Amino acid sequence: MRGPLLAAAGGAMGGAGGPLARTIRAKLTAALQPTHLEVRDDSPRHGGPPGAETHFGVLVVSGRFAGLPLLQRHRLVHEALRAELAGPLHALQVTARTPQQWQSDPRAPPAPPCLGGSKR
Amino acid sequence: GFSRHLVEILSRHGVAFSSFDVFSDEEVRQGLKSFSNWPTYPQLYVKGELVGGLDIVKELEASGELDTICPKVQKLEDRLKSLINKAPVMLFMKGSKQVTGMGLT
Repeated sequence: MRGPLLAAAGGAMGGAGGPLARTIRAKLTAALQPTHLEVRDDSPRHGGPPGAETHFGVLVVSGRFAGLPLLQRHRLVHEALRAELAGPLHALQVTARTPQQWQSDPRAPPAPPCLGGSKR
Repeated sequence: GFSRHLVEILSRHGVAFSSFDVFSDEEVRQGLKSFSNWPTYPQLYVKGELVGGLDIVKELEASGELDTICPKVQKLEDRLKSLINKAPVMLFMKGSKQVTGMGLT
């Protein structure tokens, strides 16, 4: 994954990243109890200065996603970050896998190229 | 940027689609987010149901499901067949029957 990786494998709540990154990490951990969590600040790739914290990508591996179609998985993630999405978070790339899916294919999609514009 | 990417995916798969520019209508832009409970754009709807955003469409593309859920651009041959069968008697003409004034009703 390109961009500064702000998480260690295993979803430990470290102090890496800016305040929004930490909030995202904390909320996703609390809501989804992920077995693996990566939080990526993509803002520099969208023209923001370093530390802008406007565009994020998250990789969430959680048993909570089992049996849920993609739409519902993404909704769970959005729900956990409702306040942030209504505020500073302009774009959020989401990859939501079950632990089994992650084990059989531990590859996260790369961040999409920025072709300009805001997602909201 | 994500919107253009999604357009590329749909085009690549020959999906017939219409689009709405949410920049053209702020009411729709904000209203649709709460209506569908989805916070970002682009949003893809198929047969009136939200499929999701770019991430989901990319996964559907990778799994092959995109081709099954999205109707494709109709092939010309199919369109022609459908037109010639539109009525029991179909006349393909230059102009319309109303204009000729020859009593064709």
